[in-house]
Amino acid sequence: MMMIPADWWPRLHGASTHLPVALVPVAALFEALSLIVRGAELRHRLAATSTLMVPLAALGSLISVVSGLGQSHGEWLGQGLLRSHHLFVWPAFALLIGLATWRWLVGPDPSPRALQVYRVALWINAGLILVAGYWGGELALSH
Amino acid sequence: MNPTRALLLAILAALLAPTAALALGTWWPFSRAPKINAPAPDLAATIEMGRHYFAMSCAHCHADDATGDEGPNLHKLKISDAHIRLIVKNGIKGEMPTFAKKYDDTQITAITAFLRTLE
Repeated sequence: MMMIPADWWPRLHGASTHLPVALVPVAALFEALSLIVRGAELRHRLAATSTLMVPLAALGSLISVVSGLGQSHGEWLGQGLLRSHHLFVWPAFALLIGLATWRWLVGPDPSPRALQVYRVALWINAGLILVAGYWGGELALSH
Repeated sequence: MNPTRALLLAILAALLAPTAALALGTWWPFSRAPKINAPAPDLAATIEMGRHYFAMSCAHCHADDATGDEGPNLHKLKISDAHIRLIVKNGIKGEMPTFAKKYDDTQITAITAFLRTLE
């Protein structure tokens, strides 16, 4: 059975968790900008970049969640700050995987209505991830 | 792909991913600390042992009453026991030394038990 030194998990978690923390809010911002900027080409580029960021964030979140579980010795909820962190991590993770899967399956041209729902879900996801990241930072800094 | 089918598969992935992660965390012994949570024969003795180790190794930074000095106040810690053990064992780079070589898991559990008594 594969054994990984305990001090690797915090490092791996720290390295991987910033992928979704950075990429999802920026993807959400780009989706919002793609609605308001002028110029079809710029809109298209913003939306395309956002679309690329979401699966990358999802991949990062897979590593982040597994390493986070390693760091917390398998505690999926915990107490105090860890609990606050996890209460936002799990819905954010589930939603991100769902969004990345959907975006990958429907291809580049989903229906406008579906895209609207996707954008709203992405904005919610960005909020969840930022709050989870906030509690994660509090957790790291509380020592 | 049919949009409805894509949506169903996305929902399925959203449900399966956290479930798989939780299953992995539960099953895979990567995250399992050695069995340091075995019931102590005498909790009071364990706490007293932890108090002793604290006085020897922690008090000079966290103060004798653990209210903080160079290191932070350790009263009413809001992190899990596992997390406390991990920090005592591995330290914090640039801030706190590792005690992995000085204390074994039973001793670190005793320190954790003592810290939990600090209101």
